[in-house]
Amino acid sequence: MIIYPLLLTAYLFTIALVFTILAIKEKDLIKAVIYSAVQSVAYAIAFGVLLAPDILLVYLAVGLGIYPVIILYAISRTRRFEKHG
Amino acid sequence: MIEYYLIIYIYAMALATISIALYGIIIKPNIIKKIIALTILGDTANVLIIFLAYRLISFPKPPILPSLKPSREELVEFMKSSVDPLPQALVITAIVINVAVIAFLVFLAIQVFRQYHTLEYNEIIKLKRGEQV
Amino acid sequence: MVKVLKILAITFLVLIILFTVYFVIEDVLGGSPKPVIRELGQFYIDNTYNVGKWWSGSPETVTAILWDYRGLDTIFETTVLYIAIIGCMVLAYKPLANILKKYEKEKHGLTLIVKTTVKIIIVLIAIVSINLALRGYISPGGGFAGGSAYAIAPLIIIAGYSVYYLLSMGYSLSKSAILRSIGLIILVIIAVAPLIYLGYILQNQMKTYALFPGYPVKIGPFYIGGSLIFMNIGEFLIVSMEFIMIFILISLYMRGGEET
Repeated sequence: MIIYPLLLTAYLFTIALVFTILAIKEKDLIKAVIYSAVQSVAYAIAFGVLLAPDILLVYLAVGLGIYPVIILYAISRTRRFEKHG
Repeated sequence: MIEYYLIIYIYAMALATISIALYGIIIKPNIIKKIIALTILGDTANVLIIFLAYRLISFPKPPILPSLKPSREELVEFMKSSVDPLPQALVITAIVINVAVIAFLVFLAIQVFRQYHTLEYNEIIKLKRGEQV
Repeated sequence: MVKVLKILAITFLVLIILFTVYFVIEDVLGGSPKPVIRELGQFYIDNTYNVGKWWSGSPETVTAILWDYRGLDTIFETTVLYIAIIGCMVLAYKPLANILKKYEKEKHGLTLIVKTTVKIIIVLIAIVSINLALRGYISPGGGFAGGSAYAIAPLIIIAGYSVYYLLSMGYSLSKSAILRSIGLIILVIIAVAPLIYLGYILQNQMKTYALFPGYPVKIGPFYIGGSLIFMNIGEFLIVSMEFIMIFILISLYMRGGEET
């Protein structure tokens, strides 16, 4: 009974780590933003599993609706691809 | 016994995410990549705080009393089985402050592009010294 | 040379993080999540709806902590948000007088399917977000969740139609700034009003050492959680109008070297 939320949290954190590595290694900046948004979904579910409903409502609107859009505006005003690095 | 190993695994994953986000901030030269890594760092720190505020019993409850006229037994039950509410209040303000800071940084990044026509950090340093790219 | 420096930096970072982890988890907190939570959290849970000396008028513990027990933290956070928006406006402000004439219906915007979907969704978003903000003292939500959700509606109007259509609908930077200031005035009045009765700032219910009798918990048949409902309304106005100002400013902030 105690281990079921802990198992879910471990699974969600592993998914977040995989998508973080993919986001940092990617050279196309639009794909990096989408990978970071998938990682935000995993964290939003983690907030629900850890029983914090107030934070879940704020984090869904902010992490999925504001961060990717503002960074996409910045990419469209500047360059899309990253040079060597 | 197995809960102990699961908890250590969760800490290891969260700290690995933090260190990869820090690597992205320090070493990658593109400014927008640094901003993306900064959002990842802030969000992971917030989730780690909420994980520390969990109560490790069989059926925990969220910190909301479900009725407006509770009896004595409902109050005692609520007091014994709800999770910690104090870190949740602090994390809500932290999330909103992070949004304001990141929005300001994005405006600054567009302004840098308008002046130097490039977004890579090494090229900006060379242009400031007066050499060609 | 640069590669050696990079490897040194990464090793240093890893060592710092490992030491921090060890000291934080083992010494300061005495372990991981435990079956007994710490005393301050237990105090807030014991006293938030237990009619007596320290109660606040709402069964929702997180809203009571945000606006009653720890109200000064939230006021300072609102100040930080305010100053960040002023910084954005300094960088990207432009007078909007000549821009409204540029909306042409066929050239801007996406296809008809997207426009019809946007029309349906913005009504739902407005209803849900105002519900979240007004009932923050009974169910999860509050001012922050309602304000963040409300700001998504002008965002998808900007995406589906164009920013010129949003400006011709009546949104503008000065109107948003006026509404944000009205929200701040509501917050300040409800926070400072107990001083007239020799209470203290941000007082919600009656306390033994202050003469203020407390905000009413029930008005007629309606349940109002003391001062918490007015604080939630003020914070909803502040957060939603600030995010709308960010979106309008950044969608008009061009690449440089272009006319608008």
